[in-house]
Amino acid sequence: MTQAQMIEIIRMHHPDMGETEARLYLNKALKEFCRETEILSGTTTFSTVIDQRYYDIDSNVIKINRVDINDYEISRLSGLPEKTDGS
Amino acid sequence: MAVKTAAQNHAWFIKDNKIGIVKTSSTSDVSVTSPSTVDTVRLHFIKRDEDFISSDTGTGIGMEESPAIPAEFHETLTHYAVARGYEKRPDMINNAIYFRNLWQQELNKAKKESDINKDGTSYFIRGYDF
Repeated sequence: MTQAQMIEIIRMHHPDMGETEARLYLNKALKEFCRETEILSGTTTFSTVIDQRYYDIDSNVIKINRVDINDYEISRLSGLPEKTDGS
Repeated sequence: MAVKTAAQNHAWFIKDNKIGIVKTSSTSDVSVTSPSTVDTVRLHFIKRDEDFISSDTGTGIGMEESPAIPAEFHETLTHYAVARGYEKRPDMINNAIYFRNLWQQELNKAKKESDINKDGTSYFIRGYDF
């Protein structure tokens, strides 16, 4: 179903509701749906840089389930490193 | 085996919306250090869909495009919006309750579906508040 079709259904119930308002509710619904159901998953790869500790995460990522290095799973550190390194 | 051992001498953590990759060490005076080699990292994650946008150009779901969630739940998104519309009208509060319940039922169905692998068996069990 396309966004246009969804807005058409909403307007069958609420003819006075504007497209912007309908889209606002659809976005809230979609965010809540994805967060609650965890139904969409994905993978991405990047290369480490020598002496660089921190790497950006896409803003659409809700939760990281697993991390591999050179195809082997690595463990999650319990807590944070004892020595801070801002690199 | 060397590749496996070298890879598994690493660990990850999250801080300030970034992922930290460190090399674990038993010989250094600190337990972890920043990576000392260039390696390929693969993240496996749960993500949210893109936003609905007003045009068909740009990053997002355009007017003639569909969200990436399973097609059977596309109409579910409209239940939420319809309920919100009725909630603004006190005389139609029963309709609001009806569509809220419909939204919640479909949400619960989707939660169950996301736990089932394509062969029909549970992939892993997650706890939810239904």
